[in-house]
Amino acid sequence: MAEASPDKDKAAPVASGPVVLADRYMIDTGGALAEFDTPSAKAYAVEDRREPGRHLFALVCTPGLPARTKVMAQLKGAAVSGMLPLIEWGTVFWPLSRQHCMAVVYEKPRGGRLIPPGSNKGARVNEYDLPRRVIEPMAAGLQDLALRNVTHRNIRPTNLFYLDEAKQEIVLGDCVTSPAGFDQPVFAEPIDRSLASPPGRGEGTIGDDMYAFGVTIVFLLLGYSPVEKLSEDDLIHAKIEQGSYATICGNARVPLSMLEPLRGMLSDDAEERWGLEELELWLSGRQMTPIQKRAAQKADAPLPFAGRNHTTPRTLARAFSRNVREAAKIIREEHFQTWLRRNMAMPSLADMLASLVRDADTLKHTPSGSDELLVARICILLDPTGPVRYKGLNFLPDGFGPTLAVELLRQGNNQLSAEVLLRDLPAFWLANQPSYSPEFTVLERNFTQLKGFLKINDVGFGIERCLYELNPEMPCQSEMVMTHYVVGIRDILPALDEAAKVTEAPSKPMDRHIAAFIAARFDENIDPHLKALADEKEETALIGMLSLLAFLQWRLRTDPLYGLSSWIGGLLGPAINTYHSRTTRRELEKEIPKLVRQGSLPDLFDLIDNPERRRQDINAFNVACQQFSEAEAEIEKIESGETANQESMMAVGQQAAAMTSIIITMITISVMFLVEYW
Amino acid sequence: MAQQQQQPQQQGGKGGRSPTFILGMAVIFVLLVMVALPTVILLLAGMMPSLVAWVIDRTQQKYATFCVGGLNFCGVFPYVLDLWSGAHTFGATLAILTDVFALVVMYGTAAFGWMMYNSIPPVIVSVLTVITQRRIAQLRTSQRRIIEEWGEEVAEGGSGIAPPAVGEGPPAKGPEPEQ
Repeated sequence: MAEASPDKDKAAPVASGPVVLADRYMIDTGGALAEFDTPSAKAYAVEDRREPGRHLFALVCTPGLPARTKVMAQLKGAAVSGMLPLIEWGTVFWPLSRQHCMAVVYEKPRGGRLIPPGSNKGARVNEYDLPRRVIEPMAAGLQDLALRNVTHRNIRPTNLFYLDEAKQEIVLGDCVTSPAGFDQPVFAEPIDRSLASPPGRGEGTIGDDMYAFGVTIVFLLLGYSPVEKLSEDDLIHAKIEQGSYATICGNARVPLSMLEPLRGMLSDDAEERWGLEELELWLSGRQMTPIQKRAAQKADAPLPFAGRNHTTPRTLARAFSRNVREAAKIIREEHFQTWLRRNMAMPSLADMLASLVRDADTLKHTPSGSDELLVARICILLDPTGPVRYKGLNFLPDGFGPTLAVELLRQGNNQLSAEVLLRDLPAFWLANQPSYSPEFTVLERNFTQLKGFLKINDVGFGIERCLYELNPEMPCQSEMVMTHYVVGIRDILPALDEAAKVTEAPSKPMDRHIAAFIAARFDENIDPHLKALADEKEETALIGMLSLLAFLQWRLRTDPLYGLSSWIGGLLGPAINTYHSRTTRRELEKEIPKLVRQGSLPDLFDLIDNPERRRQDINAFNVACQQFSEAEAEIEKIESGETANQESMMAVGQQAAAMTSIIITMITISVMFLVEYW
Repeated sequence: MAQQQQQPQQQGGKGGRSPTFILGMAVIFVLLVMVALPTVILLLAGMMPSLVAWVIDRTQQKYATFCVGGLNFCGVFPYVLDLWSGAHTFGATLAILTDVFALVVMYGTAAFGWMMYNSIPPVIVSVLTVITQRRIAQLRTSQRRIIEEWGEEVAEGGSGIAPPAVGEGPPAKGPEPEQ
């Protein structure tokens, strides 16, 4: 049996059987509930240990896909009307995928799903029941979410459930197991967000929820999908050309009483789209001025491109992004700019476009002059509120984080995202928005910071740092801890401690992902540690790694890390060798096993890089250097002055001979004198 | 010009004697001849090797002269005593100077002086060389010991290992962080 809690995973790997979340909720790995699956998460039966018989189910998220943990924290235990109650969430070791996964426990809707996924037809709610049964509770729920500064971004007909067995209470389903808008079908997204790839649709606003709510109401009123026969491509094209309301409700018989709210909610102009206030006024019976269908700005004459006749810049931008080579050709042709000036009446756009083409031609053989970049910029000019489109990466700036995460998940690298940042495409997008939003200032600052991180290629920076800065819910993607689903900074050291049990000796408990993860999640200044970590010298990098991990353990008060200490202790050879004294080295080598047994990285760091010991070593080394050089100088002096020495020694010898002679003389004379005259 | 003027003065001071000194020596010699002519004759004849040594010893210190002269005087002094204790006459002096044994003694001691002068310096040089070699060996041993403790980089003046600059790490036994 495995256990887990939202804060700290306590899982023990098992092959099968139930997995326990937060010491309470037993998720049955064999009890799949396919009817509650979402596109990104699988549903399993759950039993509450404290309240047996309670109707619950769990959604187990796709590993690597950032789940909306901040929203989970907001919704846990909160009685949000019109929403499926979120009971608990946390990471668990999931035996089926042999790694830790995020699991979210919901109350099981006993009436099941209104419209099963993939089904053409489902429950129909008439216009008289709709306000009371659906609109009122859900509007209250959306209001509740808005107060918490949270968007649902997962409102669609197939994500509605009957909470009660009598099928009277309709609620919205899960919105946290995948990035915002990731699971949404194209028809449930406003045009600008539907043009982006699923991960790049962004957190969005309440306006986007209102749009999806409007689409859902149409489906419920009709009892079927009015856009079922349209392909995604045709649907988007039709929405752009005719407008969302006309596309979705065009041929359907929408009750007259619902015309007003649906037109308001399905408005393609985000500023004019109905919000919760308008909806509540309508529910209270106030008559609102119906929004008139406003035709998109269209060209007098269509421009044929990629098999379609385009009359709006938005469809053209979409087609350009899908046919870059042809787009680059037509952009450079005179008749395209003429078409923009005359048929679209956009002379300023034509001028900007001509300027971009000139710039690209000047930098032709450089990455900044590539056709892909030129077309991406022109697409932004043609469709300023649409997504950034670059080499198949389509995202809105507030959806860049999940885009990075999904790109890593699918491609195994973030090459394209890095290019996007280096080419300043988000900044270009922000600079060309038709209207100002306070969010843009924040986004601009964030992207400038990200570009700064990207330009530094050292460990702890680069695209990995961008990944974790942009995705606070993203688990650490290092191979060493990936199976542990490390989302919080507190979990990284225990995960590394676990990883120590299975890691081969030569590897280090640090890589670009771990360093970037720590740098993004840890609220302390670790720049000196990162600088040391990125040093070319192995010993400095090792000490940098140890100091960073020790600092983490000290600040976070982590329990003893026996495995990690042992792992690092075995790698410290080069770090020990930074001491000059061989005696000190031997002492350190002798001390390491003792400290490893304590599991304390700060103690280990203090042993390896104690300032006092280091100072003594340096001072003693300098003294030794001086002694050595003095000895060398003396030897050199003796050896070089040997010839001169010979002469001086001869002189000394002669002097000694003379002195000996004189002494002998004096003694002899004295003796003879005494013998003679005594 | 100043250098040229200075040179003769220096030569006069070192190599030659001052006229006063020469005059004083001459007066003493004349007085000695007048007072003790036999002794002076004996000394002149007996100390001939010393005189030769003084002439051929071009060094300033005149160690050869002292060495030969000293021992030569040891050989002459017994006969001077004989003169002083016996008849201090020219005949006695002549008898001594014609005595082969006496000449052998006087000149033999001078030869012994020469022998000493030639044999002692190499011995001294050898002793001093041994002492120097021993000092070098001691210094080499000390250097080897330093290298054993501090490594080869100590010979390079400490350019081998630079201590890592990590910045401040966590204190091992420091105060616990506030949460």
